[in-house]
Amino acid sequence: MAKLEAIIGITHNPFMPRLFKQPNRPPGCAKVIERIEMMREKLRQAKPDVIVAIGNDHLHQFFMDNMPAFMIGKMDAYDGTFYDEIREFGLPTHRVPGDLELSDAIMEGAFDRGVDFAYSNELTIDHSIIVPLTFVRPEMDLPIVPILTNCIAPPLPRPKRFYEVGQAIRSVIDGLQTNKRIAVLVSDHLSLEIGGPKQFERHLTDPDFDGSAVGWIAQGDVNGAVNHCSFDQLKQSGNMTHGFLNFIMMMGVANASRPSYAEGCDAGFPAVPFFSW
Amino acid sequence: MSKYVVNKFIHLVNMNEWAEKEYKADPAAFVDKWEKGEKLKLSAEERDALATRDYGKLYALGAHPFMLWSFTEAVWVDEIPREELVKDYKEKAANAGYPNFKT
Repeated sequence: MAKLEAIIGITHNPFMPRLFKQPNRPPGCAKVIERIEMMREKLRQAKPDVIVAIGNDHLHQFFMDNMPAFMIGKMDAYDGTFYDEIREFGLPTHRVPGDLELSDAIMEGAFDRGVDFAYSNELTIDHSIIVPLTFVRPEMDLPIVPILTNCIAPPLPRPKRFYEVGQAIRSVIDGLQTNKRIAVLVSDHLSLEIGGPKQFERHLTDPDFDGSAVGWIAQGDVNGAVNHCSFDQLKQSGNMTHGFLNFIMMMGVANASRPSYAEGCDAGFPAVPFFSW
Repeated sequence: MSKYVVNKFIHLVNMNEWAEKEYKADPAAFVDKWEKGEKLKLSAEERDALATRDYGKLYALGAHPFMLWSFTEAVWVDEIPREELVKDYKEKAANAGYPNFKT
């Protein structure tokens, strides 16, 4: 039987890889790098054969002409990233192997559990997958199954649905007839504003929200999370805070168990999330 | 519905070097040429905002903020230092508040 060896929730802040290399980087970076190394070590110790990587496309391949709510990549290798991300964030391009067999198994198993994923046989991954891998598996050698959500372009699926989809993914993994060791890597953020009046500020966007959000995850408080995370509620805490919905999916993958580590790290910019099971 | 058309244009320019270059060289002409090939049309206000790279106006009209910032940086940063651009963008966004960007 397959075993879920680790769940890691981490930032996908696309500015960070370049920022960390600068000699005059802000002092808070050291603390973030230390946490990233801790998560990298945790993943290494889990010895996964494959990583299920949950993120969200940022209006690259997902667009309003044909917007899936939840999509799974079905390829044996994935290219990342797109021209605009190379230009804006200085991200390098990558090719990451894929586990097509596991993609198929999750897709089919999810149907049986009431979750109808969209799928793609030609998926390019953006910073929501590339950046977390850069942080916790910079070798980019392990095959991945990318699962992307629409948590960016409203109307959005409801928070409860993010939780249920996470639970379905977990249920499929637990029932797989394979000896593969599986890790789930989830990326997003806590309160955040991009493209609005409060973007790029050198402090937490909404510390009250960040505290509550980390608390819901730390306590496995699904009701707290789903009752406070409608699109209209989340946008009060920063115009892109709805990315937090991916972490509600992570709670579903964990079946609302308590993580061994949960933090919204205050490093002098918007909160940097770190979660692990 | 034309908020979607604005996003479609921003998406094209943001993600393609050729479109970025062509738009920057002559914004009004590029918008005009592009729209001629599109079935869905911009409103006069949207067309004017795109033709003049008016990010404050595009924000107020409900362009998706995540893409709009990336686009704004791409099409202005050669002419305005990034720090000044960020400041001006934020001031203009603040004047408009939080327009509904749902499409």
